[in-house]
Parts: sequence; C-alpha cells; structure tokens
Amino acid sequence: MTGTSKPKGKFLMLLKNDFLASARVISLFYIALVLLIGIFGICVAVSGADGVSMELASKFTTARNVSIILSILVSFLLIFVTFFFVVYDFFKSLFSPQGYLSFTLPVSSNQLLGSKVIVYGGWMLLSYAAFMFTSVFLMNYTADQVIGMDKISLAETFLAMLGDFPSTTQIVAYLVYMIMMFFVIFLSFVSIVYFSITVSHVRLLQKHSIVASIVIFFATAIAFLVISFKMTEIVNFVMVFNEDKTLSFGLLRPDEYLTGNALGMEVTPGFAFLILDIGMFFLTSYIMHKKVNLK
Amino acid sequence: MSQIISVRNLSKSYGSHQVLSNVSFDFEGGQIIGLLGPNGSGKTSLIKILTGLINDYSGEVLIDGNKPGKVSKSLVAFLPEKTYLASWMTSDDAVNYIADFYDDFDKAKAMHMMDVFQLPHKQKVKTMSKGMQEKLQLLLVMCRNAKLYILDEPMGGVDPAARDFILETILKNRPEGSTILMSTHLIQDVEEIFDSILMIGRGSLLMKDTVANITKSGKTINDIFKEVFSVDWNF
Repeated sequence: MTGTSKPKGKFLMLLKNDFLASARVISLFYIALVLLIGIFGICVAVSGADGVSMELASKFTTARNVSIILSILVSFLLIFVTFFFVVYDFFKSLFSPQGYLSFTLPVSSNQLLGSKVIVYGGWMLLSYAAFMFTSVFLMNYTADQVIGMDKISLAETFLAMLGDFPSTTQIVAYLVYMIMMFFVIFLSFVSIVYFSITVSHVRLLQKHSIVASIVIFFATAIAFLVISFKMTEIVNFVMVFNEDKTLSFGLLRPDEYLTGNALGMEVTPGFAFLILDIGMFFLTSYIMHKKVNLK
Repeated sequence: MSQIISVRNLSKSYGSHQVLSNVSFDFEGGQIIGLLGPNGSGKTSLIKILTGLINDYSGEVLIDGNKPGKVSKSLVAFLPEKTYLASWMTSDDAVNYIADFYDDFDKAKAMHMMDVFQLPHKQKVKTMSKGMQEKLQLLLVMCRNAKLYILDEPMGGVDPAARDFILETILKNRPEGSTILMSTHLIQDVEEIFDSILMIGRGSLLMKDTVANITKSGKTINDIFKEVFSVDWNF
C-alpha cells in the first residue's frame, strides 16, 4: 500500500488532463483553421500559376475568397468556443457530479484552480492570437490584391503617417505593453468567471446558481474597473513615448503626458488588474475549499 | 493496529440545520465497517467530511493520522453514489486518468478487470448503461491498493444479481489489511460481511460496536436497525 504524493507531478497531471479535456473539441477548430488556410494557399498558388486556364483560375479564385471568409469566421468562432469551454468545463468538472472525482484527487484546491487558469487562460490567449493572425494575414493579402500594396509598403505608409515618430524601441515597447495588457485582461476575465461560478455554488446561492453567477460576474467586473481606476488616480505610473524617440517612465498626471506629440500608456491599470487577479485566485480557491457544496 | 479513522467532537450544520452533532468514534484498520442510518441521518455528510469534500466543520477528523487533505485523499479510495466520470471519457481514458493521480492504482489489473467485466475499452461513458458505468467506477476504486475504501451505497438501486457481483468484487479485490467503510440501506444483504457497525441517526452517533457484540443477543443487525429507527416511523 502506498500513499506517496508527488505534488509537482500531480499538478502536471492536472495540466495534462485539463488540456486533453479541452483540446478534444477546441483543437478541431484549429485543425479546421489550418485546413482552410492550406486551401487558401493552394488556391493562391494554382490561380496564379502559369498555364492555368482562365476558367480554372476563376474557380480557384472563388475558392480562395470563400476560404478567406471561412478562415476569419472560424477564427472568430474559436474565441467563442474557447470562452464557452472556460465556463462549461469549470462548472462541469467541479460543480456537477464530476466534482466528486475532482475534489477527491490528491491535490489542493489551489492546484485544481491553477491548472484550469493556466490551461484555459492559455487557450483564450491562443484563440485570440489565432484570430488576430488570421485576420491580419488574410486581410493584408486581400489589401495587397485589391489596392496593390505589398506588406512592406503598407507598413511604410502607416509609419509615414506618423512622421518620423515612433522609433523601433518605442514600437517594441508598445507591442510588449499591448501583449502584457492582453494577457492581464484575459487572466482577469478567466479569474472573474471562475470566481463567479464558484461563489454561485455555495449553499446559500446554489438554488439560483446561474442567475447568481451572472450577477456576481458583472458586479466583480465593475469592482475591478472601479478599483483599477481609483488606483490609477492615486498612483499613475506611465510609460511615455517621447517625441525624441525615447521612452520614459514616471508617476505623472494626464496633462503631463498628453501634451504635444508625446503619447503616454498607463501601466497602473495593468498592475491593478494583476494584483486583483492574484487576490481573486486565492479567494476563489478558499471558497472552493471551504464553502462549496457539492450536490 | 493504528486508528485508520479517528473522529472527535465532529459537528456540522447547514445554516440552522445541524446534520452532525458532537460525533466521536475511532476505528482500527483492517475491518469492514457498516455505516448505517436512515435518509437524512448525516451519513452522506460524514462521508463527505472523511473524503475531504466538506471542509467547514468543527471537531477533529483524522484519516490514518492525517487531516482530510492531499495526503488523506491519496490513502482513500472513494466510490460515490453518483456517476462521477466525464461523459466523453472512454473506459481506457478513465483508467489512465485514475492512474495519473494515484500511485497505488494497479493499471494492469484494471485492464484485465475491464475484460472480465466485459467493458469495451473504447466505449464512451455517455453511451454506457447505468450498470456498465457502475461496474467501471467499482473497478476504478477496487484496482487501487488503498488503505481505506469509502463506499457510499455501492448496491443502491441495483438488482439482486448485481448486488452479489458488486459484493464479490469488493471482497475479492480488497487488499489485505485495508479497511472498508460502507454505507448502505440494504443491511440484510450485507450484514454478514461487516466486522463493525457505526449507526448514526438525527445527526448523532447511536451505536458503534463490533458485529460480534451486537449480535450476542441473537438479533441480527437488521433487527437492531429496525428497533433503533422504527420510532421515526411510529406516529
């Protein structure tokens, strides 16, 4: 008889099984997306190849246009499917009879919750990235075909509109800022969803868990916004894109960085959301451990 | 032998409704314990506390010296009354899932038992009959070499032939020295396998003794149960 527990190993097993449970459906959409982009590529190659009859080229051009529309549609749908799974799997695996299995596994509620946040937060980010990539890639191709611009000239035109500003450093900093903000926003979204579902399954709210979870979701989201707004009022940490192509950071008032051609990006709301996410994680885990009632 | 289950002054209430009131008992390992009591007596709450599903209670609960948590969960094999497997899982998926989390799970034995139980390896849980789902869950629990098996109404709602099968599977696959805590309404069918009885009613411990002591008077466990709880039905 053994009762050896390997916490790290068990957490990896949670990640693996949460991934497998979600991938069985979500991955189908990725496969569909890859196939559609593949079809698009073939259509582009065939329709533009030498010696292809006008009739055949026309058919492949039509197929190419259909594949562009379908690709964007599938990538858009992917975001909703992932969102659905964020909610569905969390509820199903923890608060339906499956909870009798999940909550008796030799893992802590922090690990149960952490695994879901990582796997589904990851899926959310990936789905959004897939949507952005598909849209930008295919729309860029369409723009290239319609207005006859290639990618480089399109980018150059865009930068020319901004004059000599911004610099490469500023562009990189902006991209890093945007990626971090997206990451924090997705993390906040997942943590608020999980908090709402968990709280709606304490005994007091259980009878009306669907209504309760919706109300709690919006109330918590509003609380997040209000708290981050208040924190920004108190400590407004800003990344400033200066006209001289440099970056600077500081505690500033809006009138100090929204002057001239300088552009400021507020960092405090991101930090506020991140701190709230961490707090929300431990609060959700505590409620899950102490207050949730499995029917 | 050390105490496999130790409960001291355990109380649990849902709002103003008290389901367990100051319950205390100990059990040494290696026994088959019958957890008896009518509906609403607090059996399910007690089982949920022992398995770590309920954590807000007062009093002390120890499983082989550990508070309900990660360590105790690795020692306990729990068979709930409900179907707890995800509907998309196949029998193989379920076996692999349990093997991932429990070091004491005998995967080879599980694969063999699946064939013996005539459970198709690739069939999904959602397409299985209730009987097949119960067989699969029983298999997953009894292929663990656990210290303590907690079985919640394992024979509830099944026909007499299935009851014999379930009972035989439990007894045949129970590792030597392990303890079984089994809640049941079907006392007559299983009373001969119990070593000890824990009877709870109205949230309190009504009886905790060995079967040998209880049946000295010539009465069966079923007779005693009726004597204890018939008062609830006499108006």
